[in-house]
Amino acid sequence: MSTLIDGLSLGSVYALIALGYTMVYGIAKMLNFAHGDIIMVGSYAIFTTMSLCGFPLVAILVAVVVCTLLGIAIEKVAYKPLRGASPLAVLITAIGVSYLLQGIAQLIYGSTSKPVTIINMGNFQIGNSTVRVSSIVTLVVGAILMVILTLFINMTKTGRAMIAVSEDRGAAELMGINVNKIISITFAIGSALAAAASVCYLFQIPSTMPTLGAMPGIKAFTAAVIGGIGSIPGAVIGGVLLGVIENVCKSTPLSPFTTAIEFGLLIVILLVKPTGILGKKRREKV
Amino acid sequence: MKKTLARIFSVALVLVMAVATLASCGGSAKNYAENNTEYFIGATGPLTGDASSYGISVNNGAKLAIKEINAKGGLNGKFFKYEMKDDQATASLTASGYDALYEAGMQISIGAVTSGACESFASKAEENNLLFMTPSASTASVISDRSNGFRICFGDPDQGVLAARNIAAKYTKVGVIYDTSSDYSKGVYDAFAAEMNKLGKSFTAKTFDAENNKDFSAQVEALKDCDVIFLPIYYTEAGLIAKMAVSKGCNAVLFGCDGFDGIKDQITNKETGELEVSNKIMYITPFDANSTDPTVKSFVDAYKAEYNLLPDQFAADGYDAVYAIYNAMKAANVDNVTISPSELCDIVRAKLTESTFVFKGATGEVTWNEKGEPTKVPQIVEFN
Repeated sequence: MSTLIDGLSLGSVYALIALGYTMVYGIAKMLNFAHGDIIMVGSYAIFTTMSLCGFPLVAILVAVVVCTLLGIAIEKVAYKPLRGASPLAVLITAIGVSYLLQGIAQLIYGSTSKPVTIINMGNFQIGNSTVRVSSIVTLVVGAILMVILTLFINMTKTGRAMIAVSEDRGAAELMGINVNKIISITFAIGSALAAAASVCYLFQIPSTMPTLGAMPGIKAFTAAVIGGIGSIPGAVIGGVLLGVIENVCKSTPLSPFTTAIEFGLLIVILLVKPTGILGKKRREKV
Repeated sequence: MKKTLARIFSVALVLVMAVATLASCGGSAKNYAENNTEYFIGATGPLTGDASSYGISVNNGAKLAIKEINAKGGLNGKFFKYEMKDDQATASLTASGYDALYEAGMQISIGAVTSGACESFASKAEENNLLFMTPSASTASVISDRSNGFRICFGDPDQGVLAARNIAAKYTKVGVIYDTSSDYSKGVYDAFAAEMNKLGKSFTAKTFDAENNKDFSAQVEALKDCDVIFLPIYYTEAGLIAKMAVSKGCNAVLFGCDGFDGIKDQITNKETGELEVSNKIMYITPFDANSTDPTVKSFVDAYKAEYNLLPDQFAADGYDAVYAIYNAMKAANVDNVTISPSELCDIVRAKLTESTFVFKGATGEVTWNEKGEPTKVPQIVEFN
């Protein structure tokens, strides 16, 4: 029971990160490998504000602002000049940005991990299993953000413009949609989600280091691909699935193979359904 | 014309490569100790990168020891020089760092800081018969079968055996969480498991992989009802497990090895200064910064004055490694500042392994056996 809840809450962290990957991919058609490192920056923003003032709410707000601004800045400086360049060039740039962020964090904060406690939330009993309050909070926060995001995309003008850009950038541009602005907004939202993910991550694992974003980033990317990259519900399903599988694996004797099993699952899904669980089939136009 | 140029160029290139290959076949670099005006102690360690906290601590400790020795007049009027090359805990940088030091006239060394890197250091030092006294490389293979290798810290298996004896004597329900991605953790665990089996005690083991995973909810959940959880791991992950234990309502005693050094900082709330963990924490360590022993106290005070920091175990190990070499050289009355590494190695080795040679340092009283392994009394630090 509590293994399942822990798995679900870990899954919602992955899902939040995967949302950022999937949105950027769906709209800008690029894999933003620096996304995991934005989470890392968010966690250091929390670490710094917590040690300066100690108010969790302020720290969370600062993290959201810092991450959003950073996301927009990265997009403007590193990716915008490459719009229209080959996808490989953009991919390499993203990896470069990722290393740059890690390097800067190491320069400022050093390479050792720093403990970060936002709030101690304790636990409660259901039957004879102990459930951590932080798991429930993560789960709820994740769910709320996902609902808001879905509503935003389907209900608002900007959201619908995003869908339009993702379906056909050229046509969207002809219809008078400012594609550059939409892509910037996408990065801003994706990075704000990354900040939320870093808050949830720190609820689960109260410690940060410069390479914090790397592994969750790759796992979330896996989750996004499993769910069908470009699809928002797909990212959520993929993330939660991966989180639960991970935690169930860890409580069995298969524990040393957890990571291998997760990535093995990716291979299986790609073999069976190459577009992912909810991925759309798209015929290549010749 | 162009073709001829290309041909000349390629022949030249082949020649250069051939010379380079021959040069590297020639083996080790040349040592210029005959030009030394001071005794030269070399080392490599991670001064940058993920493991840099260990390298920086050892380096600080060693530099402090050198400063003290030189302030006291050195050895027979000759001073000591010390340098640590950054190896980022990698084998290749260790090898090139070793060559650079050796050419610069290194005569004796405190080896490398981390086990993997020290393996590379040790194999090079063995070729040159250069003595090394590693402060902290704890895997068994680093010094075994090498007559020139000595160690300050406990070996991994020793800690596992000690922990098993202590735990088996006091507790019944025993859990273990260890890190499959670390040689240190596995080395301690294997010895622990073997000793527990010998004592006829059962235990439940869970694993994790620190490089890929830092979420310990499943492991702590499985071991929640244990009396004690043995954690042969480093303090960062141990701190996370301790916090997880609190949030899961697990009251087990957390028992660690020397990797726990530094855990207090991980589980202390920065604003209130209170511990966030109520579990009892115990660990085996050769060095306790709060000890009242005069040798330890004088080291801690000097370190604080020099760096404005509380020394950790690695700093103490680095400090002791330099002093152990110095004491052995002093006891052997070495009086030649241009002595070759190989000659010095034979002299110092003979001294260190003498049954009457006892070294008293910040990490306790140490004697060495023929294999270069230290014998010393461990302390168990306990809080909460």
